[in-house]
Order: sequence, then structure tokens, then C-alpha cells
Amino acid sequence: MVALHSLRYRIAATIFLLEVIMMTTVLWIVLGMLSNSAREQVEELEEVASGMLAQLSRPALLTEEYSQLQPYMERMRSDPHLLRILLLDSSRRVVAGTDLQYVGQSAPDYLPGIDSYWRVYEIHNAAEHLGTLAIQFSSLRIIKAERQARTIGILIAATGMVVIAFFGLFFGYLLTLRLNRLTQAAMSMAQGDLGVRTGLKGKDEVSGLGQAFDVMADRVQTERNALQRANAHLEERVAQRTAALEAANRELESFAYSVSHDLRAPLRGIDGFSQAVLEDYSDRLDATGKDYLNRVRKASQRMGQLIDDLLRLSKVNQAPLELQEVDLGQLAEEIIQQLRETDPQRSVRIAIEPDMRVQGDPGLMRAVMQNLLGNAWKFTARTADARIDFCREPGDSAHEPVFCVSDNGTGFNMAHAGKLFSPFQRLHHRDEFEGSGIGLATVQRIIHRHGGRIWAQGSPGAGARFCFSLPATHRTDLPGGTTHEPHNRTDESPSC
Amino acid sequence: MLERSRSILLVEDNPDDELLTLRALQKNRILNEVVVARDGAEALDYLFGTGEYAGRNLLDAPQLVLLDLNLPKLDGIEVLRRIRSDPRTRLQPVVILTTSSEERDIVSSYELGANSYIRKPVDFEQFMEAIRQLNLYWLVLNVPPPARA
Repeated sequence: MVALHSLRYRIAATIFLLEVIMMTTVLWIVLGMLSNSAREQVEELEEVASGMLAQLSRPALLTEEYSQLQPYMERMRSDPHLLRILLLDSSRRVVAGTDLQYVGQSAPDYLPGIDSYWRVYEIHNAAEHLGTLAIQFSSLRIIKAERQARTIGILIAATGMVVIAFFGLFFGYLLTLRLNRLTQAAMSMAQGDLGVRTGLKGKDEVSGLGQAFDVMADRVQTERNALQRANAHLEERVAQRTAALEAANRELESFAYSVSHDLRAPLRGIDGFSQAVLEDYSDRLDATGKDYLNRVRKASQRMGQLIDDLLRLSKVNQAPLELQEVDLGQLAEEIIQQLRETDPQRSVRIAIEPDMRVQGDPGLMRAVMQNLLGNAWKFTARTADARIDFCREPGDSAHEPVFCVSDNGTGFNMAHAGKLFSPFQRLHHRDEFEGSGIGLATVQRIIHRHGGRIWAQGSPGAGARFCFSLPATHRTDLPGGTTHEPHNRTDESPSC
Repeated sequence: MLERSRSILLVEDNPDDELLTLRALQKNRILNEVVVARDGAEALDYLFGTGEYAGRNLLDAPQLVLLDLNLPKLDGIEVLRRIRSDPRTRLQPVVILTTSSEERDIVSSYELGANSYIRKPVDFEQFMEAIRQLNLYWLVLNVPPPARA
């Protein structure tokens, strides 16, 4: 079923409307012409009848002898279009006529007659008015002629309209048939079938549109094929690169594995046999010899520690993040407890804000807190009234809380703050404080992987303050944040 | 039910580590006989009485196997798999003593039924302490399963 707003019906309707207007006009003109010709015939009849009667009436009126006129009038009355004839003399008395009851009387004011009209002729002899001839004609003839003409006209118009309507619909059908083909081709193409063509031939506009569509489809198909080939090539290259990267990654992993395994074994030998010499041959070594051997042992142990820390640093990037709710305060309490157990003789005042919950990887967040609190513990070793605080601070926004570990220990020069988070960078002499210089690099890497930031403040002798932020909702594995100081706080006696 | 021998099978390819382990045992006054296998194949020969150890009395099973993972010929994981899949050695106490702290090594050792996993420290004093505790537990406190032929 074709909808009424379709082009086909619009075309048909327009043609039909034009046809109606045209037919009505033609009909109107033809009808006018037909009725005119009927009227002319009647007028001719009137002229003939009235002419003859007037000629006969004149001598009758002059002689006042009407007996010859009367039968003549009766005969003329046999014409169906002539209804009545009345002859009046100059004093308007009926002297002769088809209706005998009026003869000898004054002219009646009114005479009945359906579909009829009167014609009145004055009869003169030179200047003298002799009388009046009144003839009643039937108008049925004209009416009949008009009716006939109307019937024929309507029949012709109706036939014309039917024919035109049929042709309109048919022409519309032909046009829309091809338009539908175009539409279907366009729809198929939109659904991804680029092989579809309209195949319209011819030189008219619709065929032209179809041919333009086919040309466009050819072009689109060619380009899509080229694109697909390029895409396949690209995918191949990506796969190759990925494989190469994976191979490199595996190589790196196995390298780290051999570092862990193969480098530690000889170190154990160096340390173990130095110890063996110290134990078994101490009587043959002087103080310098023993000192040297102890230095050998210390160096190998430090190297062992370095290797372990490096491995830990590389592992931070490898394992996937497993985000859970972690209470940093509780974690800090546990770590402080461990530190107190390893260093029972130290007294450090600790303030930890309770209930500091974040979304983080529990293992990695523990490593962060171990490093930051371990550093604070280590660098307050020579402070008389040692103090470590771990608090939440109002951050830049509610979505990014900031946590700070502050101590009143050795501190550092802000000029070197940039080096703090690079691996193997130490701001203190090895003899003063132990450490490989990898801890803060690991911390920074963990915080960055969580999408957070870390920064440090300090001054020599006045303590250090390490702050980090963690986004409340994590995007996974951000490549890295920035290390800078959003607040310029100079608060040197930190408190919660 | 037969008593196990009191011997220890040390599977270790690095002569330095072997010497240090023996020294640590000696320093801790652990006087059990120590049999050393220098690769995985030799360890299996000893346990199953094949090759060099053909004809060995299998009832004389070691009380403890100290197994390194990184071994020539047959690695420690494979040795462990063979020990656990043979009914004669299925219950043999095996402690992994290795340098590796790789998660995959730890996981596959436990999956294959290692009784314990010890990482060798670089510091010799820590290593001695580890050996001392290890032997105290496995040779003194722990009751081993009976040997099977």
C-alpha cells in the first residue's frame, strides 16, 4: 500500500486537479455555445411565426374581419413550441386568438404557462397603431437543449478524468518504481552492502540520479576496499609490534629473574667465605685485614639489598592493580608497631589520624606506607624529641584527598627535592643513614599507578613532610602523574 | 614401618653454596649425614637407586631433601614433580632452598607439593640462622612419614 503522501499520489492528484479545472472551463464554454445555438433556433422560429402572423393580422385589423385569421392561428398552434396567440386591437380588446374564451374581452393581466415566455409585437399601418400581437412560446426546447449539452459535457469530462487519473497514477508508478529502486539501493548501502547498484539506464533525471548513485557506490566500494587493506596491514603491523614488545618484555622479565637468581648466588659466596675467613683464620689476620673483610661483607650485603630493591621496583609495574578499600591509618599503626619491635629502645611520639580509607592495592599501599614511615623512623633516629605524624589534609578537591607523613628529623634541603624520587639518589651520607635510594622511587611509581601525585617538603634539621594524593575513583594504570607542590606550607611543626 | 635414615639430600649445583650450606650445618652442629647431588638427574638417581646409585637400598630414604630450583640437566621443579608422582617418594619431605623469590617459582613449588619454601639470604649470618631453624624443625621437631620400598 502506497502512502498518501507518496510522490506517486501527489503527481496523480495534481494532474487530476488540473484536469478538473480544465474540464470545468471547457464544459462551461461548450455549454454556453450549445445553449446559444438553441436560443438562435428559437429566435428564428419566433421571427418566422411573428412575421407571418403580423402580415396576416394587419389586413384583418384594418377590415376588422378576423374569421379567416382564426383557423390559421389554430393551425400554427399545432407547433409544440407555440402555446398561445392573442391579437388585440388598438383599444386592447382581444379580437382573435387560440383561446376563444378571451375573444371579445379586454386583454387579461395574466395568463398561465409553465416554462414559457411571451413575445409582444405592435402592428402599425403607416403611423397608425392598429393593435398588438402577443405570442406565448414554450422554453422547453432551450431547456432540453441545455440539459442535453450538460449531460454530454459531464460524460466527456468524467471519461477524461478517469483516463487522466489512470495515466497520472501509471506515470507516477513508473517514476516511483525507479525512485524506489534508488531508495532500496541507498538503504542497502547504508546497511553496509557496498556491492548494490541501481542499474538505471536512460537519459531522464531519475536515471541520471541512479547513474550518479552507481558511480558514487563504485567509488565508495573502491575506497573501502583500500581502507580495509590498509587496516589489515596496520593490524598486521600492530600484531608484529605487539609480539616484538611482548618478546622484549619477556626478555626483560627473564633478565630480572637472572639478576635475582644469578647475581645473588656469587654475592652469598663473597659474604659467606669472608665470614668463614673471619671465623676460621682470625688469629692470622690483623685489625686492618679484618676491617677489609668486614667491608667486603658489608658491600656484598648492600649489593644484595640493592638487587632486591630493584626487583621490587620493577615488580611494581608488572602486577595488575587490585583495588580495594584500604585503611591507611590502620596500615600505619601496624607498620609503626613493627618498627617499634625492631627498635625497642627508641621512643618516638606518633600521631595517626584514624579511619583514612582509600581505594588502593593493599600490597602496594603497604609498600608506600612502609617506605614513608620507615624513612621518617630512620631520619628521626638522632632527634631528641622524635615525632611522626600521619594525617589527612584538605586537598585541591573533595575527590582527591591528600595524606601527609611528617617528621621532625634530619630533613633535607629543598634544593635537592627534585632528586628525592629518582632511583639511587640519596641525600644523606651512607655512614649516617642506611638505604639504597630506591624506596621513594618505588613509592612514587606506586602512587602514579594509582593516578595520584606525590611531593615533598623539608628543610635541613627541621624535618621532612611527604604528601600524596589519591583520586577517589580510579582510572586504571595511569602512565604517570606529576611531582610538584600544590601548597606552599611552611608549617614546621606538623600536627593533625 | 621402618625408620628413615637420618641423612639429608642436598641438591645444589653451585659449589660455593654447597660448601656454605655444609659449613652452616656444621656450625649449627647438625651431624646428620649429608648426601650432595649436583644436578637434578643425580638427585633422582639417588632417590630411585638408578644410574650411579644403582642397587642402593631405597628404604634408606633421606629424612629431608633440600632442593635448589635452578639446576642443570633437570631443574628443581621437574625433580619435585618426579618425586611427587612416584609412590615410593610421594611423601618424602622436600624443602625448596633457592635464591629465587619469583612468585611463579613459589606458586609452582607449592602446587607440586613442596613442604616448605626458603629463600637463601645473601648475608651469611642470616643464611646460617635459616639453616639452623630449618634443621631444627625438619630434623628434630617434625615426624617424617615412614619409608617405602
